Amino acid sequence: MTTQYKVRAGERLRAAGRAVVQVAIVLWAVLAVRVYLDRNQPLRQFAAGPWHQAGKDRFSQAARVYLPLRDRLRGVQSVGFVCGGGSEDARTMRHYMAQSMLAPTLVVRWEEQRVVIAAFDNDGQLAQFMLAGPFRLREHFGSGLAILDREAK
Amino acid sequence: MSIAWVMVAMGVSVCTGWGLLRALWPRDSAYAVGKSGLVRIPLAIGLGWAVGAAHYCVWRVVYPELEWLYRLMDCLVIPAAAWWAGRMARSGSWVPPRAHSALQPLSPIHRSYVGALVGLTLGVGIAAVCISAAQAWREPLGAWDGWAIWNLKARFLYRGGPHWTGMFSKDIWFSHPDYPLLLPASIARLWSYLGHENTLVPQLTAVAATGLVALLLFGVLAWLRGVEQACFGTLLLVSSKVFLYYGGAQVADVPLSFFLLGAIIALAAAQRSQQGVRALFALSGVLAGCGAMVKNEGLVICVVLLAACIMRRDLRRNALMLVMGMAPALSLMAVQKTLFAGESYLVADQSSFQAVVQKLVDPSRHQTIAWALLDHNVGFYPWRPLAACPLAIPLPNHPGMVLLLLTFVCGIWGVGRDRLAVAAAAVTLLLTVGTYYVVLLIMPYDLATLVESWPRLQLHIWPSLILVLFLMTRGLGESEQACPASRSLAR
Repeated sequence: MTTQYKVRAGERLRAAGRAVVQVAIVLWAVLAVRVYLDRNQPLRQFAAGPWHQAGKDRFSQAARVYLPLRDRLRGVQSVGFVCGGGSEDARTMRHYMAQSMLAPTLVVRWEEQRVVIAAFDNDGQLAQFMLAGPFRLREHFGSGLAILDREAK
Repeated sequence: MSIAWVMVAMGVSVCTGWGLLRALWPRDSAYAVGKSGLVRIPLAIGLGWAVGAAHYCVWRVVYPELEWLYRLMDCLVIPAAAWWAGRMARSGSWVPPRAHSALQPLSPIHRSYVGALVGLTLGVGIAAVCISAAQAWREPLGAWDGWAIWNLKARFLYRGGPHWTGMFSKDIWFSHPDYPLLLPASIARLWSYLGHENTLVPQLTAVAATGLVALLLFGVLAWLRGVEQACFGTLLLVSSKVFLYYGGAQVADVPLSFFLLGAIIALAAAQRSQQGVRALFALSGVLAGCGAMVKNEGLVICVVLLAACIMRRDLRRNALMLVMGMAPALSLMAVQKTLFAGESYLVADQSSFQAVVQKLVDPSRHQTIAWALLDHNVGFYPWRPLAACPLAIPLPNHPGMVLLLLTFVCGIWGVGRDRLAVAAAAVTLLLTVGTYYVVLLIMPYDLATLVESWPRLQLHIWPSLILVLFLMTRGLGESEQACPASRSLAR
């Protein structure tokens, strides 16, 4: 009798627990999705238009810079890359993004390359870099971005 | 090339996947598409997706100058062969899944409740897919790994011509030249049909993979445990922040979780089948192999899945079929890794064997990883409803995990017919976590940064973990009177 009572009490306790968990899952799911909807604003995002207009994230902004270079470097197997300014993380991102945008051209370290992409914060930094190194300006894209040719020794 | 070609390419992929699935999935009139349709449709899409990507890679390596032949093979020969294989396969018969409605007819109130729950799950699921889509839309190039690894490789494949192998150059080590190519190849394949590159293809691929995982989990739980359980399992999955974020981030973690889930489902299905068990083991192997073509972690999953099956005597005799299923994908991976990709940085950047041993026995590294694991899963953070509020409410970092654990505690142990599959799956997941732990331990980089990737690694097993824990118990919502085990206990 006591055992039966204990089993039933256990069953009831588990049933109550399951009911609480059911309610918690439903509440959490609704709340979580509601919060993420607020954060992501899908309708506003979609209404903003195609990516090159709507992509306001830092990656898209960094990528857009390199789009004009793609045609100029078509067929080039590898180019060097040099950049300055900003944090180390930002410089890393610029380099990787240049590689991502300019594939299949390999964007590698600049020291041994004949053609080099310079991506500085501004034209002043670019000019300073050119003064220090044996480079000739091939094409300037503004805002510290240029394609440089290494001058023959 | 146009949108019409893209539709054709996607259509033939589904046909290929469906044909292959027919060849490996036992047929029975009662359990053909009607009951297991929500399992078979996502699996067929996933299989077709993988075959299309694998063939794209083969084309790039073997006969890149014959594009007409590639299209002929891709759109006609491969789907026809898969379809033919599906028709030729012998059918098996099934032990009917435990039909809840047959055990205990639902009362009208309960029926309304289940209907409302399904409606709610559908609404939350659609909202979740929209959130992932918005994430993909907001970062059209993908998250960091999306553009620096996966989309970069897709661009090499699509634009590279004969120079596509440049992606394996050690100069761009940051793109992990040894990573597998299923995701990039599937994107490049659609770009080649489209005739130009855009961001929409990787975005849609990412969102589709997210939707497929949710659909597959719902389908399998509805099939094996009933619609009510399926709703709770799916709600747990789609309310996970990590799942939603990476769903739209254009990375390979969500596709890997899809293939792992598929492999476990095939094992569970094998337990239900009276005939065609070997074919289902092969299917499990094929899906695990597809996971290996998605990410290197998939290789780990292949090994631990095989180990888990070998550990159980009842499953051991079918382990060979598992290996045979994995063989095509693993062969492709072997070719990639030996002929093209260099050594993995995990091996190449290790200074010495002593350094590895030193890391393995360093207690501070164990502490860092264990703490990250615990903090992500059962840790709490103080949440203030208002910035000025002096009292903070402790909220769990990963509420889904807490709720899943509670489900496990409150559910009644009822593995039943799925015992072997559940055991193998549970061992697979445990070994996977264990391997990830060891890999993090010996990584030759800053550990504090690496452990931040733990939630992403855990995402690989998250849908499978929900499935396994729901299969281990009778889960939520089922009346105990319907359970023979609890009746005997009450007597």
